[in-house]
Amino acid sequence: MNCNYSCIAKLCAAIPFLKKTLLIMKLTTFFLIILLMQASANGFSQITLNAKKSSLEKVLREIEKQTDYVFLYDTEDIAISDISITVVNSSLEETLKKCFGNLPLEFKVDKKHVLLRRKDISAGLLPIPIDIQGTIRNESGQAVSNASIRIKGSQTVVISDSNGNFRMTVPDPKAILVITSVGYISQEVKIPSSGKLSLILKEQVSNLQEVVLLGYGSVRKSDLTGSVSQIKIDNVNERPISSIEQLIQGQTSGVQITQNTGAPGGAITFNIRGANSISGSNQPLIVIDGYPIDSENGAIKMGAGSQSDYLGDQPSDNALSSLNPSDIVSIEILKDASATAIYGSRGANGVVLITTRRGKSGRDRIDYSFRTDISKLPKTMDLLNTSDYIKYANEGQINSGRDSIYKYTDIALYSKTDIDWQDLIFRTAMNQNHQLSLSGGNEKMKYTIALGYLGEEGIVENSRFDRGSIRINLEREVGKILKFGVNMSGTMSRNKAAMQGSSLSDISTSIIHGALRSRPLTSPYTANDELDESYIGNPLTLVRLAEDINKVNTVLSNVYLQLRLADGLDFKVNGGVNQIESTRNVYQPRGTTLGNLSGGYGYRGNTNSFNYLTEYTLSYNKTLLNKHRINAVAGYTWQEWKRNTFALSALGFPNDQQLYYDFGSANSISKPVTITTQWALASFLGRVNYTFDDRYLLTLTGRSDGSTRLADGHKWEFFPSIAAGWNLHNEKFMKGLTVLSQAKIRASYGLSGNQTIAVGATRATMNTVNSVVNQTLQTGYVQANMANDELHWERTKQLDFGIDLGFFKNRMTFTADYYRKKTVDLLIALTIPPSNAYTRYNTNTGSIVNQGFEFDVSGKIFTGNFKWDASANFSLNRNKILNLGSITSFPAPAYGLVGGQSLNIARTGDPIGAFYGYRVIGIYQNDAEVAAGPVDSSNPKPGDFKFKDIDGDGKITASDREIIGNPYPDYIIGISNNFSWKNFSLSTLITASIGQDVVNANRYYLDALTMNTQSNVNQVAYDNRWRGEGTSNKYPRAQSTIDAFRSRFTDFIVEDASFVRLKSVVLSYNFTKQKIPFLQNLKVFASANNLFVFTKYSGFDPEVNSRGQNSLTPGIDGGSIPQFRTFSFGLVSSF
Amino acid sequence: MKKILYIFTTCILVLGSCKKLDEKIYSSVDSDTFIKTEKDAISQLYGAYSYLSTYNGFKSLTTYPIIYAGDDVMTSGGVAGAFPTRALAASHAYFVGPWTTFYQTIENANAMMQAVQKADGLSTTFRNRIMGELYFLRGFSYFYLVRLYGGVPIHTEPTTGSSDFYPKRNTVEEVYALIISDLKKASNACLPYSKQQGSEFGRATKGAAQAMLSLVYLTQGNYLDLKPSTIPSAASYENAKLYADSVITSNEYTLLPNYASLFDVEQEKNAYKEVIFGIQFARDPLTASANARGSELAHYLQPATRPFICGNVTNGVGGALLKVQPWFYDECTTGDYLNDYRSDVSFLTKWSNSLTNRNYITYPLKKNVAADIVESYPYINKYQDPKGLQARNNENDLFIIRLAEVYLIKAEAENELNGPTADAYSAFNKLRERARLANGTARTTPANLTTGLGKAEFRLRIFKERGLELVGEGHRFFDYVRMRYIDNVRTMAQYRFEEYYPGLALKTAPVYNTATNVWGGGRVNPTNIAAFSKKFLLFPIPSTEVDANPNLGVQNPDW
Repeated sequence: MNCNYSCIAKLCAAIPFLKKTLLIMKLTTFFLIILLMQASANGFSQITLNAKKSSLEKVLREIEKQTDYVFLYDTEDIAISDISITVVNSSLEETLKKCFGNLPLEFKVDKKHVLLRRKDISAGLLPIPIDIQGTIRNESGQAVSNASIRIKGSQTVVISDSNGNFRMTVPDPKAILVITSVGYISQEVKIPSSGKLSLILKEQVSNLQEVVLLGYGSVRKSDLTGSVSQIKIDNVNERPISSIEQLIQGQTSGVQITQNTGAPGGAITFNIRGANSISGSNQPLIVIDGYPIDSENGAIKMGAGSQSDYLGDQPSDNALSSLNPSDIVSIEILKDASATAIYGSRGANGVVLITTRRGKSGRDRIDYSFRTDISKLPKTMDLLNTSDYIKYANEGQINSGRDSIYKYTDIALYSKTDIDWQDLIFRTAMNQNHQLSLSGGNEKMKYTIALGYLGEEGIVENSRFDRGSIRINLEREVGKILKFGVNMSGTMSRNKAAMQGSSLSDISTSIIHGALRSRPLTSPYTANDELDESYIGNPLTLVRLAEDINKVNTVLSNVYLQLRLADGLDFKVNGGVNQIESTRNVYQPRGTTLGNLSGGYGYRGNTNSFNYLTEYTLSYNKTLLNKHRINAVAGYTWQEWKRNTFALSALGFPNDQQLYYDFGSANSISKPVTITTQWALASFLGRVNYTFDDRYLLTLTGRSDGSTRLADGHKWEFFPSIAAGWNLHNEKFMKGLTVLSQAKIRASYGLSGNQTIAVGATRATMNTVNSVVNQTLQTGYVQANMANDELHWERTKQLDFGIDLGFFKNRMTFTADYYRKKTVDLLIALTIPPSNAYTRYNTNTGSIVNQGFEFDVSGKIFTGNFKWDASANFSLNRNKILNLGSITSFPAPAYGLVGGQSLNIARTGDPIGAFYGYRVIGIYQNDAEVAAGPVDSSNPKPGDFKFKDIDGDGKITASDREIIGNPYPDYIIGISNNFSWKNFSLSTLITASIGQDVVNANRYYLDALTMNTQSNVNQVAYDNRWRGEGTSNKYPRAQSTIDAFRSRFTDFIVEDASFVRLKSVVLSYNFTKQKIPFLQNLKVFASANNLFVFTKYSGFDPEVNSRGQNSLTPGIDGGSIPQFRTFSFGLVSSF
Repeated sequence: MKKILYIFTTCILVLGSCKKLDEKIYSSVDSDTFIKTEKDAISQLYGAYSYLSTYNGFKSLTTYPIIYAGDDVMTSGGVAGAFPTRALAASHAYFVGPWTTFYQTIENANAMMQAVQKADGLSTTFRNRIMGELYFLRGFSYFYLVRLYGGVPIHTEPTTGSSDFYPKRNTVEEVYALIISDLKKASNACLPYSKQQGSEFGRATKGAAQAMLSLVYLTQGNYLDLKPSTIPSAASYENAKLYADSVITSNEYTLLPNYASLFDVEQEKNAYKEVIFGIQFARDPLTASANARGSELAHYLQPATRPFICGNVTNGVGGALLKVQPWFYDECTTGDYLNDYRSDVSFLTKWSNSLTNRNYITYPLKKNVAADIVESYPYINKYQDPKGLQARNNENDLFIIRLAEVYLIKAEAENELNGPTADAYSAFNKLRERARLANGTARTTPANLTTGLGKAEFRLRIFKERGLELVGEGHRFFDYVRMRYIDNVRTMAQYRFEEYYPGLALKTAPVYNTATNVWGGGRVNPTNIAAFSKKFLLFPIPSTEVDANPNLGVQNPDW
């Protein structure tokens, strides 16, 4: 009785697994009857059966027929359909034993009833239960939490805690445990007699069921039709990474990332599948946890109303440097139109979706990592020392028919000074990076709080970048239908910049120019060992005295609420705000050129950018009739921006003690600059992803964008796309091919846009200026821009074919894509002749094509004790201007290099911003050669450059220019390797960029004695200078009256900047056997970044883009702080 | 399901779509609708004038190349040093700056002409007057363009998205036709100087239009004579004389008795009794350096060792960018010009540095004490502003045309038409008379020009008189490419480089021998001399224009 009762109790305990309440009622009734009857079975019936693959229920019915026993059972327990049994005149006991055989069922005969139940819950038949304690780790020794440990054939499940530990009582020591965890291969183990279990779970190689974010939703990777690169972030804290682009560099195909300069916090050029736009931005749209952010905000260094020569020409900061890369867990890069069309007018340059860290249910956990870096300049330029310089300068004077500049008697005096200026401005920089996070949660609520601090010194004295950040991500489920969450991040960054203007006209705008061009015999110090402040542009005054600090405070916060309306149907509201406040404070005291001119110059500029987002989406995700899977989303969004700028400068300070803190003390305060603009974007969007039988895939996407920036009648534009895919490996005819685990072909075509039209570009507007009438200042109005009411979006049509292959259960994968992007109605700020009074005209004209191939391959070459994972990517892009409307070419904006000439050109048939200039074909060796050469108004003499008469008219004129270089690489490569052996792991990243040219603009001054002997010279130019017939055909003679290049931009300073870079090497050791109780994991590492660069480029570093803020002026190296080499050490720990 | 869609749609309608896609720019005004009152029109007119006093304009990039391009000054080092031999590319800011300035002035004039005609609420009288000043600005701009660059594209409509951005160069003749037509309209519509309200002082007047017209016609006559052209030049000279006379007889202007007071920054307004049109600058407390509406002349033309002479925050010292060629100094201080008051005012050959208590002298002075510091080249002393705010933020105006020049225009036009008549001598000698008044203590020199000169010789005297009277005011370049030498075939410029310089005994700077206390050496800065080339006659069309405009046509000779 007691026993029966407990049996029934246990049965009842199993009942919650039954879904149908009615059945529960029925069974309960039955059991009550059983209890009342206390019936018992008798065992003498004779049974004859012959069943083949019959259901158990049928077999039992037959037995019931042949005997007077009644079976009592739970229908779920006997849902077994392949019973084959042959018995002749057997007893009930024998028949049932044979019948149940290995089935997990047992029976008990009680009077005329046979009670059937699952074996494990029948206490009466249980063997002695055993207590088990176990630990689950992954292959790298980290605890696996949330793994489920189930007794095979039972419903008993326990979950491992955050230490990977679990404890359970197993009724049968012979039972098998099934351990499963997301992302790992499930494993079955026997129970050891000791009851202690230590398990290592292998990570799942197959990624077929992984999910890929697509913007406003996600799809299974197997259902993906577009070209999307997914980057999982793991060792971000082990490398000196301060910005997300650095995280992406070299990791995936089709993405070209160029660090514009080596300044900390400096801008990075980020192109996906080439540059689409001549005048618009070519930076992709960045979306952080569903919130599209403005990539220009925070990047712009306030310069309005400043001394533009000194402050305005400085390169911009990196907008993304206000995002802590340590917060990121994964990045999706949407490349083709099928993927980007959902972002419509902002998708043409590709979209980068960033997912930040979320908490996991399980134990609360603390992660802390620390890294310290040491950075150095890997290479210095070889410039003349004093004695060579004096020789060269005197030779130049004499060659120009003048007296020696340094008289014999002076040489001894001058030779006392021999300054290596590069030594003076560069230093070994130290960085620190701390990352602390708390995370955890349960099934219903998860949280992450992450704090980060980065302090990065620049390799130029007195420059540094600091960033502090906090992130709070929360997610809560309420019941089964409601989910809401908050993503919030706040960042403060402070960039103390060293001047690195790229204009060569004044060395006071760039410390680098100053250091390269300052003569070795000019001391930065006076006789009293004080800084020589009378030396105009003394780079040391800029390094030591000038302050240029850009602070950016960013808050990005969004709240979402998701409501399950029906099975598969969700409604989501997402709203957020993004506030970016950037302040630039500059002070140039007396001693600097600008400070001397103005008696101390102070500048304060503030930009306050605010935008908010509201977004409503309805998504439907369901498999219908087994084979039809639909994943659809539709929605509406509104995003609105407002930007306020305020700037003041002041000069004539009583002293330099208070920097920019007391403008009240200044003699004169400039006219304040105030700018306020406001714009908005409204959009309807939708996407349907349909999969039939896991084989055929179809995606339709569309977005309709309306923008305030465009003229009436052009405000709305629709961006559709279509894509199809075929999972060949799911076809029957492929089943035999076991080697090939995945094969998918994809094709897509669609439209996306580029919205970079300046606010107000469509209207003729006027600005105020100062004018002088009646001897006093008056306010006047002048035309600011001309009317253009036809302006609309730039549109990019993109075709993509792709193939994804997986081999050996996806141990090796291969992806290839071909794409052709044609951008039409180019938004061009056409450089128009200045006789029109405007130099730019914003128009939609012409087209550009970018086409290329992308290959990604990855594989787990060795598994087991020694592991080797490798991946490589290769991309090739060709950029060509097809058409520019009514003209065939126009020059890029000029700046203060080579006498204010344009170095780049936009010309049909050539890449955007190709280099355009003269060609040097050697050195005139004698008068006869000069006479035979083309007529040159600059009157060349023997020893001067020989320019090529390209148009053959016998004269050197402006029409003797042609394309002399291509700033884009022929192909780019990234190769990653990860090795691990026991607790050691080693990872390397190699990046290569082959075939691009760079204008080594520094050489314009350093390769010849120019500027009336005011500038130092490259050693190679001195060693190989022309000194008479036959002495050199490369470097010109020394002369001091005119510019050796005759103010011409020539191929002489255009260099092949191909490079292969050992970008990073990380070596780490993992203390898995750590016995410290609270320490979960500890890893120590050492890494090196930018260890070697193999290149023929003669400048500091081939990866440079001094004028990167403008798409039309790529590939220029002038005045920029070079890339540095970094060694890092640190630890990663979790508690 | 329907209900959900209904809620969803409502949400969108309520929360989103009710907003209009209107763009707001708070910090600019719309050109089309700006002028609502006369006051608005005046501020837009001020805008049209403003380009002339910008950094690109006469504050810096337009003034300096015009002065450097003359043969009377010497510059050394850097860009300034390269200018006299034109060893600069067509991309240089000194060629781009003036081009940009004048075309921006033209565009703003064109745009405002259209706006003024459309705007309601303006009286006809007011509208006509504004139109007159806009015509003046346009004609004035084209006159500088045609003299600096030759034939240039003509724009008479505001630029819009549908304009032809790529016009070809118009001919010199076409440009002159427009200048003359514009300035005639201006002379009809602008107020005479005496009728201007105080607050309007500095804006274009009837006199300004007429004075410019006389110079335009004179320049056109010279152009036709030099070309040589089938069109006779006589009509041009007649008109030059006519408009010069019109200015002289209007009695709106008078020669200031003391030449020095023209350049006294503290009584600048007084100078406009003689100055017919000038580019006004003011010490600008709200903007510094390049963007300030103060001038730079007092800084760049004064020695770097002379404190408190301009607004330079470092002790108010000059920038010493520009000096005087010694041979030119000699020409202005010997012969006719011996003891000429104008030379005393215009040139600086000695000064002392009150901070270091050192005295400085230049050629041709001799040391008084051994401690004096010697420099080779004299300076121009016309511009001083100790009250300036920064080096590049001083009060000094740049005079475009003054009555003294109008007398010389009259003399020259008369000479070209009829030879040196009594009228010509009389106009010419007005300046000598004034010079003799000196600072109130009358001098005997310079004597009146004595009659009996030939036509070519008289022209040469005018050239020299202009050289001294207008030194440092931005005329020398225009004079020596405009006027012919005695041979009637070559320009003065060609003569200088082909004959004058090669004929100099020593082509070196003057050198002071401390032992003998005597100046030796040559009288010219050698780096400012080059073989003659046609590039000395016109600036190149800037490369920014050439590169962007495929239809433009040929570049100027030898560039």
